[in-house]
Amino acid sequence: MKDYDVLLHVKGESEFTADRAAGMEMLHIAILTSTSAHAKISAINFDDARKIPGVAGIFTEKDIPGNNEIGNIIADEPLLAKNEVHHVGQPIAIIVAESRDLAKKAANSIRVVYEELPPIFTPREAHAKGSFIAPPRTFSLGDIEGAWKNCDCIVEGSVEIGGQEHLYLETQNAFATPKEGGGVKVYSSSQSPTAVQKTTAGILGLPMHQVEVDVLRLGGGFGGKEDQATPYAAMAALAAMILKKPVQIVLKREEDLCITGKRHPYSSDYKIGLKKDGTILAYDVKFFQNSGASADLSTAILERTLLHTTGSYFIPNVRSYAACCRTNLVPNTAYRGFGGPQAMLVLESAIWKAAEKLGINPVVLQKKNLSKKGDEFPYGMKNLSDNAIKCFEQADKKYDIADIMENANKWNESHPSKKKGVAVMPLCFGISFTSTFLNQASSLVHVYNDGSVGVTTGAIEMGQGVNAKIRTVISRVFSIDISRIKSESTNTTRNANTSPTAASSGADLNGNATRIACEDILSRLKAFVADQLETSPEQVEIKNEKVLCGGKETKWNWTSLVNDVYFSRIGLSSLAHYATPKIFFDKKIEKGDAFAYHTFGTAIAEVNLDCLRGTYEVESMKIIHDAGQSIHSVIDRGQIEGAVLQGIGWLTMEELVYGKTGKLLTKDLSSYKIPDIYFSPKEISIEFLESDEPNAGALNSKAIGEPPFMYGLAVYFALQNAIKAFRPKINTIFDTPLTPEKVLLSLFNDHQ
Amino acid sequence: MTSFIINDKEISLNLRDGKATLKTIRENLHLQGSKEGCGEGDCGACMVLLGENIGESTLRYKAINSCLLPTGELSGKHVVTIEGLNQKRLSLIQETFATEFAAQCGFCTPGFIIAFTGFLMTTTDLDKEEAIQSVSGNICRCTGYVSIKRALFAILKKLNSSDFKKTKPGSAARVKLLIDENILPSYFKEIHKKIKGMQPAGIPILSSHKIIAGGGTDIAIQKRDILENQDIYFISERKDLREIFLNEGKCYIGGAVTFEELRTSKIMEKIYPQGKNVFQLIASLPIRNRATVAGNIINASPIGDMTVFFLAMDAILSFSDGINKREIPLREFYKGYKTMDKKDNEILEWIIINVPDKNTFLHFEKVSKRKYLDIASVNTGICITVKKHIIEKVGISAGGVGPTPLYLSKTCEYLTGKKIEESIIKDALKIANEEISPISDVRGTEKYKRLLLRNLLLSHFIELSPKTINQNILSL
Repeated sequence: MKDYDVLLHVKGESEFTADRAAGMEMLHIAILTSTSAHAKISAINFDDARKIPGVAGIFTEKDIPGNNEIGNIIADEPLLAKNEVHHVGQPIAIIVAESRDLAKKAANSIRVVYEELPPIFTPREAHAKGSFIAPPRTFSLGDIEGAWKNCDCIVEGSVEIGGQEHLYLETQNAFATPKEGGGVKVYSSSQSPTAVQKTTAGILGLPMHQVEVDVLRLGGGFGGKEDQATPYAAMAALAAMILKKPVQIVLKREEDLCITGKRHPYSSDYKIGLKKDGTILAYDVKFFQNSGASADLSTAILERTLLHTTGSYFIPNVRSYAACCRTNLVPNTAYRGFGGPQAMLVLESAIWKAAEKLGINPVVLQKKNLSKKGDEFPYGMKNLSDNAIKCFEQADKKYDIADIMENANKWNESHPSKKKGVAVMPLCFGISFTSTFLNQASSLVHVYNDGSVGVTTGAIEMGQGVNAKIRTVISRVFSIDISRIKSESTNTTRNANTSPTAASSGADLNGNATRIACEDILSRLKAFVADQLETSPEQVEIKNEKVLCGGKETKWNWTSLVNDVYFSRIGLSSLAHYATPKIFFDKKIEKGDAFAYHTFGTAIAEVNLDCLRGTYEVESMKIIHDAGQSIHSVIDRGQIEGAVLQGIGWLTMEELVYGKTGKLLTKDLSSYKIPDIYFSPKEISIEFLESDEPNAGALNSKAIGEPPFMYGLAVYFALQNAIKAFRPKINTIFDTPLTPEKVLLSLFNDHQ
Repeated sequence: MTSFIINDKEISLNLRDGKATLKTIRENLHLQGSKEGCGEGDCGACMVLLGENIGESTLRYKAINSCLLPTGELSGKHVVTIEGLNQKRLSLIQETFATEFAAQCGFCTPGFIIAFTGFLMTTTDLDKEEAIQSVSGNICRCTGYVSIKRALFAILKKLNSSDFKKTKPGSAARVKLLIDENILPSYFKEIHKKIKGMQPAGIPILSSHKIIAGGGTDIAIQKRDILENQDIYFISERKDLREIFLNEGKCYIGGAVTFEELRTSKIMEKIYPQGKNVFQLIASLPIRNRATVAGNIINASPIGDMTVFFLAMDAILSFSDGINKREIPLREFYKGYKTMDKKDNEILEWIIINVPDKNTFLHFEKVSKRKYLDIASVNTGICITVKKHIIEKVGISAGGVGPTPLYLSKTCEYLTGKKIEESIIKDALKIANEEISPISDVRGTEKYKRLLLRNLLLSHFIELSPKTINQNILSL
């Protein structure tokens, strides 16, 4: 079965935001950004720039009619800097010109004089100096202080985790056209049209209804366009409103890399305590998040870190402290996993070290401590499922973990300069926005009187297949052919107050809202048939486009029924709202049922290491994944395959290097490397867990976007195991990403 | 005025020669299927096919990154964008990509389909590895490439049962087969004839105000402004420099020869049989289709892969300013970081190497953060002649460890006349370590580069003499 969006993609006919501006006469924006990480702006000279023919306008914070504020959670970030800059790349002014090159030329001719202030770049330094975005938080379970005395083995250590660039192939971009009555229409490449609408309205000093935001699809998002598409849309809208002309902004790749936020780097310290038999009794951890210069989504991301402190495991005594540390780097932002991967990496590192100390394989500890149904998480919620254990057992049964490890060991004995490494990663990831209010969605379904169907929701299609899933929901509820259904762009005039398409929840929330809208229309269709046939609606059903009554065919099929219903003046549209039931979280006590459910899985990774060159490849990834009752297993498989490689990239080759003054040095694709086709695992095997549990996802499915990202951790620890096979006495340091450089230095540097 | 064929239409445009083809396609031709992902040839979202007639019967296509391709280069050629592959029904490639869901966000998809279509036009073999190589210049951030591989292999399988292998790349028979197999639209039959009917580009005239461009794959990134606003002397028009030939024990590589032409050259295969695989580590196929060996040398990057390879071979460079010719060893060419012994109006016409005898061993090593399509952290080449266990002659080069590509002359001097054994190699490594001066940068710290070069030099000798150099030497 081929999919509507994919059919457009293969012909190059799918329109991305910049394509939608094709043929329109536009002015173009270049941004003047800070070259200093922390400074007062003592002077700016725009004279030369203004003289350049073709420059239509230069705007600074002074030109903003409304609030110069883009902070969504905490109001601490201006659209355009006022007096001070807090990171390299912070926008100071926007230059509008007839062409993008001209605007850039003008931007380059502007001289800014900075009075430098001392910058902070590391979260540990920020923490020591009390530089926070918000007060630090602590989650607790059991009695951590009392637990240590019962432990036979205690290990302490630290973990340094690097950031990650989203590298959506389509860079940030938007265009805006002025509208009658002083309003503006914004075409944005955003995961969060309502955020664009609200922030733009605030910047322009307009009510939200004067700002229409339309999003058709994104060329990748991964969280990078959840909050950080907003400023570019707002800049285009600001210029369009002032100049009364359509204005476009498209970031060049280098700009996008330098001025947009990334996955948060974390520094962490842990202490873990176990009994001799491997039972983890106590875990005390401190997370220092490098939030960057302003809040963005950092506090919510930190919350998810706290919520994933214990990963897939049950630990009875836990203290988890976490702080959003304000530094002078670009504000970091949402990225697939949203703080969860960092929490799991710290815990898995602690387990790895504990296993080393106990002289056993980490997999023994992993298996022994898996969370089972009824076990409590540190945030008070009980695990609703045994699927963590089931996934692990299914993986072990299918692939025989001990056998894979033994084969690798044997192979290693006869290969002095090449080593294999194997590691396992059990997964447990909570599904729901941690900000409870965001767990709502609306869906507008139109059945046209020819039987075709249009749907519009708050969900943004960015490659994850959410539109295909929503169409599948409609097709199943109506029992009609999927080719009848078209997904429209997300538009704030059709779906208001939408939540971002994020937290893996797009299909869950919007799929459920769509299901309700369809059920509403379906009930009207059934009532009509029942009325005509003088029977009860329960007798009526639509099956494969045939209208049945009491199991027997009637004179109607889908199209004739819809047509007759229309002529009987019955509405064929429905706008439905969905809110995830039962979830809550009390921040005062840091307890609550934060998630609708958890997604589980187990991955086994095998890597090959060339010890002479420090290079490596992923031999295989073997995965058992709990996708619930998948709506679309082909899409889910694709999400797993893509997430796995992105997770591997994060921990291996994707390295952000900053200069001493806080300038990003890995500012292009020739220096920031992401996995290519050759780096894709040589073998990848994915099997879904058979499960008939009811789930809060659409039609009992489970969210898929983020969880498999964390399977990448298996590769990281497999690499550490391979390094250890070459240098058994190494004092392993956890400092990601594990680039070929770090591998080679740890293989040969005796000071490590 | 640049006249060319875009998909099924002949057109003439009056544009600056240096305008990026991607911009021309999107802004002037209003074709939106080609995307800008990076603007520097590192992602492949802008990929097009560029076809030109070679001789009487061959129409050769190459996949090219249109963001780095100057519009002036289109003259008399056929440009194929994704729109040029669209027909009423999906092509086999499009169909298979759709069936396998080998497209997620869709932004990179046209580039993949273009690249793989190019592969089927140019390959002799339906080999899986070659198929992967054909899309190795395409980056996808969504799929993890797994579904893409499934699609490629499914297409190969389908074509395996056709007469594919009986047709020669670039021949009318191949074009016909690809039309019959629903890979190309039928208008491709007419292209060879149409190109023939077009005015061929004349031999360019060298003048001081022109900027000289080989493949332009580096200038288009580093000097975009200059390229767009100056007249360009396209070396690709120098058909006389597009060959590799042997003469009196020497091999001549023309200044217009691309990386890919070198990699697939039969002559080069005899000189360095491993090159076919090893040179895959250099750039990506679409970059190799444009980048010239001479350009790599003139670029003077301290880490240029081709430069480092030819440095080990002690290559001679032959320059001409149109009137005077002169020769200079590559070893003596660089004067400092990005400075060289070359006048602005001189063109590197030939790279000349000695054809190695049977006692001579060539080896090239490169390590980068990502194995393929990446700039090396350190690279090194060796060309060593061993007779009766004694090193008669040796050339060793190293990149990324100094301001220019280095010829490790002291190390070579030390090794000459010595026997290959562990203690000698150890001493040589120490000398090499003193000859280099790496700095810490995005490609790695100084410490790493020193360690890496040591290991890569070691690997030359392990490859050369696995029995003598025990792998336990690693612990040294």
